Amino acid sequence: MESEFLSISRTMVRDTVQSIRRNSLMSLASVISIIAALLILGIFTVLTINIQEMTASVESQLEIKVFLSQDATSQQKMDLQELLEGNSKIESVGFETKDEALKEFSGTLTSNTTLLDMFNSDNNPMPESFVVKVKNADDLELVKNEIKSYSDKGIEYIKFGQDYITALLNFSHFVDTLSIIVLVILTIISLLLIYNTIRLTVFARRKEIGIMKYVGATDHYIRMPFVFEGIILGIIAALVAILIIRGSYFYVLGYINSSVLLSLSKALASPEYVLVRLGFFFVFYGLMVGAIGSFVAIRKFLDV
Amino acid sequence: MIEFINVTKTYEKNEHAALRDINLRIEKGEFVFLVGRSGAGKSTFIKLLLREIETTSGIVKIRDHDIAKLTKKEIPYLRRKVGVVFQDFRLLENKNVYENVAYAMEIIGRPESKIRKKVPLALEMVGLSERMYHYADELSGGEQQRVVIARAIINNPSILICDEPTGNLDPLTSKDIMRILGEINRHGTTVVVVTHDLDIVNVMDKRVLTLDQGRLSSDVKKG
Repeated sequence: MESEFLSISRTMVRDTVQSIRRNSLMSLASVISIIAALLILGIFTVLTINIQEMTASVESQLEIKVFLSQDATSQQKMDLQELLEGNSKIESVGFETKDEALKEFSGTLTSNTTLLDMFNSDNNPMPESFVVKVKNADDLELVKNEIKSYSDKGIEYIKFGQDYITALLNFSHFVDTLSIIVLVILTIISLLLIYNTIRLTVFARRKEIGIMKYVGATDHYIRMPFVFEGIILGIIAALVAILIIRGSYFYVLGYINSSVLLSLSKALASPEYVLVRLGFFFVFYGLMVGAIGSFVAIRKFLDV
Repeated sequence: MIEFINVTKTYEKNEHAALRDINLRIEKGEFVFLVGRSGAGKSTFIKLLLREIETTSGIVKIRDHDIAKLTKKEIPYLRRKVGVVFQDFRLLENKNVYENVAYAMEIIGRPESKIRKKVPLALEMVGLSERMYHYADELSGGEQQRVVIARAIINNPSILICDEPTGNLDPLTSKDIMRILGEINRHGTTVVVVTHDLDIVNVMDKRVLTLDQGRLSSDVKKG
């Protein structure tokens, strides 16, 4: 049984290598086309990864400030804290005292700090507040409205993230959707390319397939070399595409670092991170596209 | 070994049945000719035996098994028991004689050691030991046909079907091929030769089935 398996494997590897070599030009053409498709896909993926990174770093800073009115009772404060801590969408609840608020405010002032010297703990005009961190940035609006409904708990007003955060989130969603559309279109193109290449190979070997059928080779056995061929082409394309993207991303990152966009670069993903995330995805993608494309291409020739 | 019970085959495109109500039995170890003009249903007969097509009605049995009951996955195993020799040879040009025959063993997963042992024996049986490393285009028609026969018998089929095996060969070479088929038959393989070449039928003096417009018109024990 084992020797049968070995014998079949050896024959298959030999046939696959032979077939790729015999159709080297066509194989090369389809590998290059898939590399092109993967490069476009890669640009979108890199973009998505970076936007994810950025939104993640922004999201972690997202907080809602619930300012309390000066005459809020301690019972109201306790009730409110309990309500906030009981909310499943809320990550954490902190409390900022009048003194802390004053200190933070003076920290934001670069000049005229003497202005603040006239205030002390007795006449501090700053309000107390709860600092609420939300688990998911998409829930910000929702949580804000929920907190609004606790109006009898001595809330003066509620403040949360600036407009740019909402804009960034919207953009992130937009890029996500766009990436999926691009992924689908390019997958269809890649599948057709592999399908076409393998169909030509199959056509060139149709006589052989006929003989195989008559001698009693199983469909599985006949199919495997072609599927292997597709997988190998797909993986080669994926590896080349990864190297190109890694190289160019490294270059682009260097450019960003050395230019005015310095502040941005901290939030960008490292080339190694991109390489790992993209690497697994591309190899898997190449493998699947190759396998499925070939599988479909050979199917119709098997009906002898 | 082979049994046709009330077999009728009609193709969709054609209102005339290719085979009409065929009943026949071929025993183990028999040597049988199936003759008839083109269009008499000979190709349909072969295709039915290999389960390339299925009957419209009736049953085809091989070794007492109704082959219509085979699943798609079991068909290759039927074909390993039924060797086929074609008129147009169907050899692989990029392989030499040895490799062409070995190929039939490779693709059903026979180990290399067995292949090395058996292929020369089969080539010896068809008289091609000297030509083992020649390529198909370096061989004469008769030699090519002998390679095909070696390939067809290498996996020890219980039935050998030959579709016009002498169709492209001169009379002398044809006789040679028939002698080899007779030899294979003597080793116990059931041989069915489909042909319209009456010369070889007369030489061999074996059972002859005649198809005429899809009907079995005669079944003569000795040609």
